[in-house]
Amino acid sequence: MAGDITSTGGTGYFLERLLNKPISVLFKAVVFGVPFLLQWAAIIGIPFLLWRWVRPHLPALRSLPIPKGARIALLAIFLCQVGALLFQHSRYPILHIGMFEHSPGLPDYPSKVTRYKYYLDEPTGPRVVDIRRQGHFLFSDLLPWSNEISFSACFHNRDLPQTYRFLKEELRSRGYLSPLRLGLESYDFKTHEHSFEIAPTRPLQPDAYGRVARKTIFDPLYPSR
Amino acid sequence: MSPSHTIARLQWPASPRWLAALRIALGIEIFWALQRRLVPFLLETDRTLSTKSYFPEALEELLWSLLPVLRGATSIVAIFFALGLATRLVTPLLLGLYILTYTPIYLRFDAPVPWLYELAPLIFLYWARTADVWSVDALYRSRKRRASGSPDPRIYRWPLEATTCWFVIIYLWAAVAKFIPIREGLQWGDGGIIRYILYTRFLDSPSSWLLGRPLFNYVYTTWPFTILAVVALATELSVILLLLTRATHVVVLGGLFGMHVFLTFFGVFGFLEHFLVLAIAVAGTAFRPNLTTDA
Repeated sequence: MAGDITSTGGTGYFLERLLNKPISVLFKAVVFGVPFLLQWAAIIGIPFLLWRWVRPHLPALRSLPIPKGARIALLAIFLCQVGALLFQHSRYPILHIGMFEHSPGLPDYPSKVTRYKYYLDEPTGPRVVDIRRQGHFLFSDLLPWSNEISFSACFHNRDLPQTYRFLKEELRSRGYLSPLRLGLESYDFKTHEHSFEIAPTRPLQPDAYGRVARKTIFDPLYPSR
Repeated sequence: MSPSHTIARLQWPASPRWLAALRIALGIEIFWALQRRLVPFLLETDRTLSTKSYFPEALEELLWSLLPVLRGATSIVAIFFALGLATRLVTPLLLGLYILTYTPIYLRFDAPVPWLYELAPLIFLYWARTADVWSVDALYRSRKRRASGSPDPRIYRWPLEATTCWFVIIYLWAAVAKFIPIREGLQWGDGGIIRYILYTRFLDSPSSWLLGRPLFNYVYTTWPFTILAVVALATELSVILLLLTRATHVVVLGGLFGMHVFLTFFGVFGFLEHFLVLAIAVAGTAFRPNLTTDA
């Protein structure tokens, strides 16, 4: 009879199936199953515990001089943020706060990291225009920009001719009249060699950011590309 | 020792000066951010991203065409707000203008740092008495206030606690988001994203401009990234202590300040100044003033 149970169905059948699996499958079931259960235990359990903790204080909370509108706004903001978090969804003005939340792992990176940067071709030599540098008041050396504009110009809109034109005009308005050209900065983590080429080879290769965003910087020498 | 969690603290009095300091810092920050060339740049490039808003498309288009006007109006109102001039009128006006101004901006720039930090406190401050001291309004009202008596000092407490709750949500959610789904959180602990940021942004970071070389070899040495990931997670999760006790405020704020200085040094700007604005409110919740001497 015991044999029937183990071989035809029910708990015994399940156990037999489980025990006949390779050990790696059991290991994976634990590694992925336990966090999965913990995740749902947290989603269900934390609000329950919070409610148990808050409930005795509710009469005191109700007596506080907090306007009703503010109470509703607080609750609405909290619920919206919980929703944005659980669905990992941003739609202005409700934003999912999950910056840098996914790890790409630890792949091999090239020992030489490169970045195309514009430079002012001044009589005393090239002066690198670090666009990101202009976005912080402690480090900016040419333009009084904010983090947002320097981020947008350096990353999102680096491939646009408008970005180059805007940068050129901003520099001119501050008295930097030298020609604005494109160079290539590089640093080798193996040899510690830090260099800046004023005439990089064309066509341009994707740099550290270009590989991620699949876009190269606007090249004023070949504006049609 | 008496409890000092958020619910207990809500019963405490607070000094109106903390709220006034928050109002002034927030107004200056909003004004300052709008002067630093983002709007002219976006008007020049006009490239929309895949970001979306809850507003209808026609309104988004209208707001885009009005962006220079909105920027100017928001800047002026932000100054009024910082000065505490006609605050009852100016606060909701600033809130409305702020939301409208940043709608077309968000559709063209998807790193929502300023409005992530500032929007919720602006909503709370609509109901708060932010201009009872250190404001133009207070100068005019002082005689009338003396005649009507002092208000319940607890009314200055809840906006600080609400802003602190928002502050906690920002950092706690940032930590929790790394664990959804939970196996991703386990993978996040390898520090791969920190390595990616330090490597790809090395030539765009103060560490390169100031030192000329990385702190260590980001290509061949990977174990420090795991330590940094664990420290970052612990720092973000530590914000929950702000709700549980006031005893750890200095440690938690110090840890977050250190994290932001670290991020700034490695090319992730923008968070530090907004962190400092909200930290005014968080620091204010740690104090229980003696109102006979400090109101």
